[in-house]
Amino acid sequence: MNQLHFPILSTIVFLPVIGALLVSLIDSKKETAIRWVTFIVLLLDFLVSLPLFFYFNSSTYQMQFVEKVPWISSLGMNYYLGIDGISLFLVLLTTFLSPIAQLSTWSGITQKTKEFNIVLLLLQTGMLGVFVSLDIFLFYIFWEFQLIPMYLMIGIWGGPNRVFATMKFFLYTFFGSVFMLVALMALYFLHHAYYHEYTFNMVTLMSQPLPANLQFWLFIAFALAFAIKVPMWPFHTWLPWAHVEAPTAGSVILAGILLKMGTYGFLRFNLPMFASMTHQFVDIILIISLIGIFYGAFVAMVQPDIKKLVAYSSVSHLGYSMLGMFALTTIGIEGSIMQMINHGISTGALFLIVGIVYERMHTRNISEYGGLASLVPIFSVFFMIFTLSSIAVPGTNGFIGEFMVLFGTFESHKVFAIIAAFGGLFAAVYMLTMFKRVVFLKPLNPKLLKLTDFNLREWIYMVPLVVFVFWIGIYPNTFLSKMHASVNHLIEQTKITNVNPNLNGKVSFDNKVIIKKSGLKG
Amino acid sequence: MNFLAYYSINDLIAIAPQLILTIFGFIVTLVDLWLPKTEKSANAFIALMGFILAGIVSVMMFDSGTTSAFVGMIVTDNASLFIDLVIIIAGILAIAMSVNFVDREDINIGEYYSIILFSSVAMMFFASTYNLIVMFISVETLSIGMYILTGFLKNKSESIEAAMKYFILGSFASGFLVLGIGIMYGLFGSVDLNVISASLTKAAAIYKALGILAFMLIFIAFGFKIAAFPFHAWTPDVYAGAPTPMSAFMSVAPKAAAILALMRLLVVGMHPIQIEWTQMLWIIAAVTMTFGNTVALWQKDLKRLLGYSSISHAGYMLVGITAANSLGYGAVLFYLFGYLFMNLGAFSVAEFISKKGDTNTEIANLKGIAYKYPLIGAAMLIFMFSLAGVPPTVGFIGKYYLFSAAVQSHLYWLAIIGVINSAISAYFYLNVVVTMYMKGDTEGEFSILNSGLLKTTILIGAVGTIIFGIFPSYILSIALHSIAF
Repeated sequence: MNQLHFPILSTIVFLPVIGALLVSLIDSKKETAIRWVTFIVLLLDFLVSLPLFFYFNSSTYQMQFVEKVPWISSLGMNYYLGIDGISLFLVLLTTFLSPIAQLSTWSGITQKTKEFNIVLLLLQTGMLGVFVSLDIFLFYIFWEFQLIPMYLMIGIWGGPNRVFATMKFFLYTFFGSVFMLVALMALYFLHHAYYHEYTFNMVTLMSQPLPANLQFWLFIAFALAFAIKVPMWPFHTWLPWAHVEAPTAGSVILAGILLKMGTYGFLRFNLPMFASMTHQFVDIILIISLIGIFYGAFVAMVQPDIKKLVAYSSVSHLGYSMLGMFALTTIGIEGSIMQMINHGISTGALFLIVGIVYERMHTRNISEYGGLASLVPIFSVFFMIFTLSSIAVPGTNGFIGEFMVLFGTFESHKVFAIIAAFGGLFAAVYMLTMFKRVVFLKPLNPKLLKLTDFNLREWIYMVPLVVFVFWIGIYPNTFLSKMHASVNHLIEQTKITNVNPNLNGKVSFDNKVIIKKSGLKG
Repeated sequence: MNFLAYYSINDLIAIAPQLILTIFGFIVTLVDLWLPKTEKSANAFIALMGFILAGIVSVMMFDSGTTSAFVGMIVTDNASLFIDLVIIIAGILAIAMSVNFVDREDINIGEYYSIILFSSVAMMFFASTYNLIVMFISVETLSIGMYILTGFLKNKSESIEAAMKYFILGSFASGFLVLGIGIMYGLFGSVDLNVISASLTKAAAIYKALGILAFMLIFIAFGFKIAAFPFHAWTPDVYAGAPTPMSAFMSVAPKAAAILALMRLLVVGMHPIQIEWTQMLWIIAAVTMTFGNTVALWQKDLKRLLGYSSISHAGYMLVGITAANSLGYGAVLFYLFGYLFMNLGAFSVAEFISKKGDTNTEIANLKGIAYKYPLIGAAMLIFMFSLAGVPPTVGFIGKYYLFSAAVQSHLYWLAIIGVINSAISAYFYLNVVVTMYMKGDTEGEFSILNSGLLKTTILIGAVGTIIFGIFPSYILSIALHSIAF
């Protein structure tokens, strides 16, 4: 079955569902018990996911920890799970961030605590399912399913404009992904038309050439769904709304994990499956990524609201991730994956930081803060670390990701790399300006004097994030070594011209209209 | 003439489910005479027994091959038994919804249940024949039952008005049906679809053209029954005006029968003109989906919203028929099966919040219900996401197969129109969720129909929607193998 002889991926994915059932049995007035149970389930999920890291065989690009069970066998759909060096860290990031995000809600979410924790647990299942599915149909089910809990999370526990924000979030993403649905139906029948096998197996579909004209449309349909999710400029408009209105934990998960589903989708589908089209679209996507980097940075500069500023910085950061990915070099793609992880850690942490002061002050306007350094020194130190990590200062994780992206891009597209390098400058401008106004200067707002510093719970969930900021910043090889084989294989896949000239673009599917006379004689 | 030379006991065996329901229909009518006014709920119990028995029999008859009875007028095959089962489950759930409802509305009389039984029999006959005359008779019988049930709330003017509208428009549609059948008979000398098909293949161009005309006239009646654009106008009024359990029943059972009959008409009878009817159906499917979903965006009443949504769902099912391949036909059957659970469930929630007089079903009245009744709220959430086609619900799986059948037939644009419609529909279905969950708690008391049976119906609907969404394999393969044409 797999190297552990144990369905570890299923356990990781469905443990939260069991947790949700447990929580639903607890009386809704026992909030503390609900919080503890949820936290323990999420922590347990993280602990169960650790063997993935230790037993991961970094010398092969093959899928590992594979589980395969027929699901809708008459139509070639399988319950097929597995991970490789690309999805490994996204799974770990998810299981790592979720308990942290949950801890941050212990004082923040006081209304409908039970429902909140159930939704959080279901969300966890949806996200993990996306990263471990190797059957496209299964992938799509998880991909859409996770919209429901996120939709509820923003809509129920969000800010004043939550209904608008959550509707926009849902409809935008849903609209993008329905085209992917049609594309994957087409892929399914195309594969059968050429290779006489009905399958949704990603690994098989990746290695099969397709005619160019069809690849073009399939690439666009998949890219649209993922570009909205990332979000790439100009599809980013749902993001600031969703981030600003979402509760802290929602923002952390949205930025930390949900957005990665878009970048992961590009890596998993567009690059290997439509390799020839990827080469044709490289310039367009690189330009869009560049626009995203600068657009995000410029808009972030003028935001009066800390959370909105961080939200726009996400657009910029993920622009780097996309840039590195479509540079189509090993270092670029590895940098892109590192950038995803780093963004999850740093931006997630920044949202937590914002959440901590928001809980105490009930405002996120930069202008109402100032002088926090003298009032809450520990808070300010943590804030500084994550700010610097977000700017990509050497020694922090941000630097590794951004440097690798730029380096990888420079190998193949020098001009783009040079332009993108200036993006880092603007990141420093908006982040440091904000940091200065919030942490330094004089505390003019009298309400600030009542601020309290970190409590024990906040220490507990902030420290692991800091550890990873420096771990990745100083010794990234722990992580990079695991992804080499998979990334190299991906690069190989993108180099194959997978347009098959022997295949005719005008196919006829096996489309028999079987008209059998019923046993009747007129 | 010797009667026994034409008919045998096998004929009766072939229509066993129908017979059982008929017998129970008469039992209800008779027993009702002896029941005191306080004990009328026993009628519901008898009717339920009838449905359950008929259900068991049709499951037992499944996979026993195609039998034709009554000199080929009735055909019992897997597809018809599948639809029988859909009708029976819809009947069971509708009766469970009715018991406390009819008590509250003071319409608890035996006729209510016997009409449900008799019209179910007509629906089953409708789904199991290749004979146009039998189709006509059964469509009339089932419609009369539906007219009566629509107007059953005799003290509510909307109900009477809806019944009247339904009746007048329905008679009009039947007129076209008879006219079409007449022309068919005049052209080809038969009312049997197999014969018509054979003659149509060989027919000269002029007869073929007339045949298409006759087909279009017949299609009007079918379009009316399944509420396809532009024959949909009655739907929202009838669904909003009829007693809620009957709206729920009507949105599934007659539709299921009509869809299978339509498939028999198109696939078997009209096979020689397949190119023409796929073109026509393409347009009707696209417009029906789009119309239903767009108009639903502005609806304030839950029952009316479900009325428009049922128009759009008829459009989705037409996509599967337009695809004209076996995957599409199987997908339509599967979709009907899934639609049964989600739609009856959604109507049950509408009934749950209704007040005496079957009023108060506005969407706004759902405000905060999810916190007062968390399970009902969660169930409604499941129904809404399923109707919108979001996994892991049966609505998604059903829609997936309908559209993938279209893709298989290279109808990419139809599939794209379909999925865009899904995205549009998400808006109004989600608005219901917004009202339930995101508009805050309501301090005041809800006026609800507190009925254990009703809650059970909601629960069955929710569980069915989820279970068949996650494990569709079994039902799906049955549906795919049921199609014999």
